[in-house]
Amino acid sequence: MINQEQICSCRPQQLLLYHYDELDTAGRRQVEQHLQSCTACRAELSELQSLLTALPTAAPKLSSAELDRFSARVMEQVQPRRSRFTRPALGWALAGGAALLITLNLPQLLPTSAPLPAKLPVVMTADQDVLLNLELLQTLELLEDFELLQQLEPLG
Amino acid sequence: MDAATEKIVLARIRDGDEASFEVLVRAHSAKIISLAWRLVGNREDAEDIAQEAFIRLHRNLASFRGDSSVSTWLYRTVTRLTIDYQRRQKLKQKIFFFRRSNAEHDPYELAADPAASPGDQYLAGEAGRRLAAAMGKLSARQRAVFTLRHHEELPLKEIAAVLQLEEGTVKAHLHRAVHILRKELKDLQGGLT
Repeated sequence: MINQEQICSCRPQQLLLYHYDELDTAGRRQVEQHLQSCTACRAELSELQSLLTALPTAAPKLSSAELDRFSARVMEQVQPRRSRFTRPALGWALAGGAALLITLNLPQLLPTSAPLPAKLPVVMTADQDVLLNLELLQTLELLEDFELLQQLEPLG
Repeated sequence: MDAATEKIVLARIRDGDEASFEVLVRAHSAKIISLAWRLVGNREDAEDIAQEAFIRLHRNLASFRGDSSVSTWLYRTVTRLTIDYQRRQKLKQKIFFFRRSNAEHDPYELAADPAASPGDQYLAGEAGRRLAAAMGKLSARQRAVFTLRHHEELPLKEIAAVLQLEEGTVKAHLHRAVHILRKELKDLQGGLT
């Protein structure tokens, strides 16, 4: 690589733009004229071009089967988004129909003399017992916090 | 896909024709995946990024005014997504660098290094591996500018539009990218195959 000081009077960035054909006609002519008289820039350009043209440019490619799979994947992701606009109407219609059926058949569905489950009050009492035992719940919470702290400890 | 066909396809999609969106995906997916692959260096993430770009396109079709072509829009989205992706990856590496326990895995093994997935590399051989490693030294923007100019052959003006940067800034990124690549590949210069 050419020392930057050797080409300080030139503009190395112009050489890169020259290589990529990014200069306007006047700029291009200017560089070409300069190159005729500047050995350092000629060497610099040559080095630059040898690297850039030697870089592998192969494009990554997918087979048509892989592209098909990709398209299917995208469509799978995209289709539910659009169907959101149509589904609510269908959902509401189904819900309305179900509600109507239940209302019409409600007297037949309900037993005439439905006895209350005998164990229900016992269950409720047991639940209430647990809920009332706040001390136990607090202890459980403390234990959970302790476990969490133990898990986090190695992470600092 | 030419501009006229694209216009028709877009109109059909807006009318609710999902199959036309698939036409659009099929027309652009190869190029878009290829670009993402070059930018991130591995196929899996490239496909995820490309998929996200198409989902965003679908989401934005109603407001897609056609100021730019679908291709430019996708290029822009993929490039931005990959820049974000690469920044997140670098941040991850930095966070793991401050790991407390030596028993934890090395951050460079955990973070998806674009230069370190040999089974997934589209660039085979020593030259490909060296280029991939050198590309890994570039910043996200430098990599995007270099890839878009060198591999995708987009003019700098278009790259500036895609990245929404000043053309002068794009030139500076390109210059810096080439400078780094020359430094990294100095020993291979002229001998790359």
